[in-house]
Amino acid sequence: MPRAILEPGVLVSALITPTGTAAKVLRAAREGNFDLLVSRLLLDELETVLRRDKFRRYLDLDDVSAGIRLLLDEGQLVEDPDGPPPLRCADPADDYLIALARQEEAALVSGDRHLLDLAGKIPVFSPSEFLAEQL
Amino acid sequence: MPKARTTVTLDEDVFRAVKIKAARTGKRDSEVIEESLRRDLGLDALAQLWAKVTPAPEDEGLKLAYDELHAMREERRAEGDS
Repeated sequence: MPRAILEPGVLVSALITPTGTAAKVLRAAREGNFDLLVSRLLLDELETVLRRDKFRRYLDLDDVSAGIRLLLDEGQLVEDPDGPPPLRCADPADDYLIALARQEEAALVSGDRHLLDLAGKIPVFSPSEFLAEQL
Repeated sequence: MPKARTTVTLDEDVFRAVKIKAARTGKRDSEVIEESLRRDLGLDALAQLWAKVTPAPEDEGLKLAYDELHAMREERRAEGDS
């Protein structure tokens, strides 16, 4: 069974665009096509972002809490990485995701060009690539 | 969605409650059992959440997701530096 980490930007997109590609990836996890991995740090970033004012036109704060609960229920909660990533990202804030993917031997699904630029060096896929190539 | 047939053994009081709810709601026993399982297993949670969301166009949602993620991280970095 494939194992994958959906980084916070992908999860935000999945939650606010139910018909989008990121949502299809989340639905695939829901249907048991791969193991969705989440960590406390990842969920903290996700919740902090979704609580920002610009998202109130799409979902209310109760929905944000429901989304986080759902991911905790659906996902496998794993430890945040305690070591450095195998290589650094142009955006250091993404390093924990690279380290997490390495630690868990999981694919990373991202829409962030800083991470996608590392394709070939780490197992990182855009949502559409992940759907087409990994499932 | 394709259906799979199975046989389950229920306590009599549970079976009676299924029958009563089915009669009261005009549903088949199997529908009452399936709805109950879906609720308990959280199978409808994602669909229910999406039903409440005001959908963002995909490009707009993706751009907003990363703009706000990067802004949030920048603010955290600034707070950490101060």
